[in-house]
Amino acid sequence: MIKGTVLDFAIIVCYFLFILGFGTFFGKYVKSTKDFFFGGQRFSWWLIGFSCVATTVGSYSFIKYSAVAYQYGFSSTMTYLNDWFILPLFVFIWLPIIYYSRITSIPEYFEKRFNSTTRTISVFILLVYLLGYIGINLYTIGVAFNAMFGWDVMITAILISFVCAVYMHAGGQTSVIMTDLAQALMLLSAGFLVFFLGIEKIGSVSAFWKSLPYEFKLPFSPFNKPPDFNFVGIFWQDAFGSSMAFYFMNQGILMRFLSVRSPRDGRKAMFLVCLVLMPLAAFAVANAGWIGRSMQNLGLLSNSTDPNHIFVDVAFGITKPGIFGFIMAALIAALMSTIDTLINGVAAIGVNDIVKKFVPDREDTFYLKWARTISLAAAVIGVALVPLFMQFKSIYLAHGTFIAAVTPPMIVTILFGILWKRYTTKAAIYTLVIGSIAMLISIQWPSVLTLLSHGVAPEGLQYLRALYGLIVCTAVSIVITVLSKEKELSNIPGLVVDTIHEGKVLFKGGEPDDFDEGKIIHCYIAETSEGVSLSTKMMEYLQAKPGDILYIADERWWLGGLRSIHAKAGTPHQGVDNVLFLGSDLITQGNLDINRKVTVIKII
Amino acid sequence: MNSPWLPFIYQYSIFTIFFIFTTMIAIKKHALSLSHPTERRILFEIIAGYLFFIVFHASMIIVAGV
Repeated sequence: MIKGTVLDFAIIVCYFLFILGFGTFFGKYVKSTKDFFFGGQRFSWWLIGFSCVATTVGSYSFIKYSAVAYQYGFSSTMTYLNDWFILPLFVFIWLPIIYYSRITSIPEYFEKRFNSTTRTISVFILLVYLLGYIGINLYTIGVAFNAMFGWDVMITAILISFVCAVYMHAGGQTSVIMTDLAQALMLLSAGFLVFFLGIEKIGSVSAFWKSLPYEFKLPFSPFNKPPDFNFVGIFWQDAFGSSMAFYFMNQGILMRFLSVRSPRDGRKAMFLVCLVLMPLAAFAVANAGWIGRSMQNLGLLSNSTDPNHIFVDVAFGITKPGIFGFIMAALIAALMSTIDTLINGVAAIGVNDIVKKFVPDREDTFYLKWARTISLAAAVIGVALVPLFMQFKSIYLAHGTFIAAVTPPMIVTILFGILWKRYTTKAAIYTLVIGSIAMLISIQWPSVLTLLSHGVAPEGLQYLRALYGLIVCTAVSIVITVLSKEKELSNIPGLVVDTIHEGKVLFKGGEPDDFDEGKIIHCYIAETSEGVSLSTKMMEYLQAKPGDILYIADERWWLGGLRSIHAKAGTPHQGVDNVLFLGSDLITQGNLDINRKVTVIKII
Repeated sequence: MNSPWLPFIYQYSIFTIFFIFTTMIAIKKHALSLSHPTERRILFEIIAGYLFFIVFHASMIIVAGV
């Protein structure tokens, strides 16, 4: 049965056009590859936080988590509520390393930390990961549209990838971040709307709660059963493996955190994501399944509903025309906000790790053209991968199998690379190669996973592939490192936890001072030929010295740093206190308005 | 049926080992300086957040039976 009315369809089309126009608008802020990939390192923590969540929540999230929520209950939130354990590693070690070493991609980190061979291998693995991720997102939106309008899965995938590629082509990372804000708000509000309308349909929260059995309300599924959704398998595959992959090897997320105005803002963004937005997102993406189960138990929904269609079926069953269109537009928002990040990530790797390697030392505009071309190519390849994912039994299985098969070698290499200065290049290469081969062996002969089964039935063993990969790769890393010669620490400044301070020195070009929370000053701009000069009093208030890096932004906070610039403080002036002398080139680069006040903080 | 506390204990045993291990490395390698008030406060916030999730999950298990 085709769901949705002409009004629903019109709302979806309007949303498409809005995002297309909104995203393309930010093309005017893109003047270089730095802007295209990193948005000029200017954005506020809250903008990055929302953007990360919009990236995390793909269209597959609504379909996949609603399906498991419908079948297994509140344990569907397992994977979204478990990221906090990563924080010490991410905040104190990984974030300073990537930010201060100014790396542009994971492969680039590998070359600096190890050698060019590891870079080449990681380019291949990362492209498989990112392009596969694009493919599975397009596949799930195709499934949803097929359930709604009876559209062919491939036609839907082509249409949506085209819209994403067009605005990505124009605006790069800036478009991604700004449209993600709109899309995150859209998908969270739609998720909550489904819950409130569902409760209205059921009658009350009390009726909803009473209609669900005890097992359904538990936050974790049973330890080792059922085979297709047992705790231990999901823990290693999603809560551990996928989370680590998402925050440490997803090029899109790496670029997001390189877009923040300072590591301090990156830290705040991470807090916002893990503590607030991910729990909200867990609720938003899964509750249609809980509502669906409750409705079924109360006789309000057919017993024969396909779990993969539960989100669409529940949304259709509880809404009126128009509202249904809004919720489906949110599903598209979730998809587009994930795919645009991934496309941008593929473009970054394509330009920085492939094009620049073969065609070095060209003008930035040359690489910008390539970035845009690769964005379009990534969208096309993503569409081409859709038929591959159509062969899996469920979306959850397709997604999990793909992630677990690709990520462990990269995760282990990154972790050892940043945590263990003794970790050698030879060990990194062996880990990537042997680890990948081991993963392929486990796909061909799943019986190798039996030793790690934890009592899980054979048909559920694939969920333990991530654990198997982590163990194999860790063993290879340790053994080969012990047997080989380590790289000199002086060759890897800022790239391991031991040398973060050296990384800060290189970043600033002097001794860093990033301990103090930034005091903020508000002042007017006076245009000058070059450089940055604050009054002596303002410099004292900021506890800044000449040579410190300052962040200067339009005082309208809600712009989130869209109009801003980083610059080195020059010699203080003796003039009026609330005037900042700023070079005309910096005013242009930062898109600053000379008639408006700016805020200034010291970064380092 | 498995005890509902078994996944809870399994998860937080592994997470806690990982959490403490990475925090200790950050302190030992001076990526985190406990002598500075700002960094102490950040560490306190991270530990508090971690405890919040432990309590939250434990509460969900208890409330499920109500």
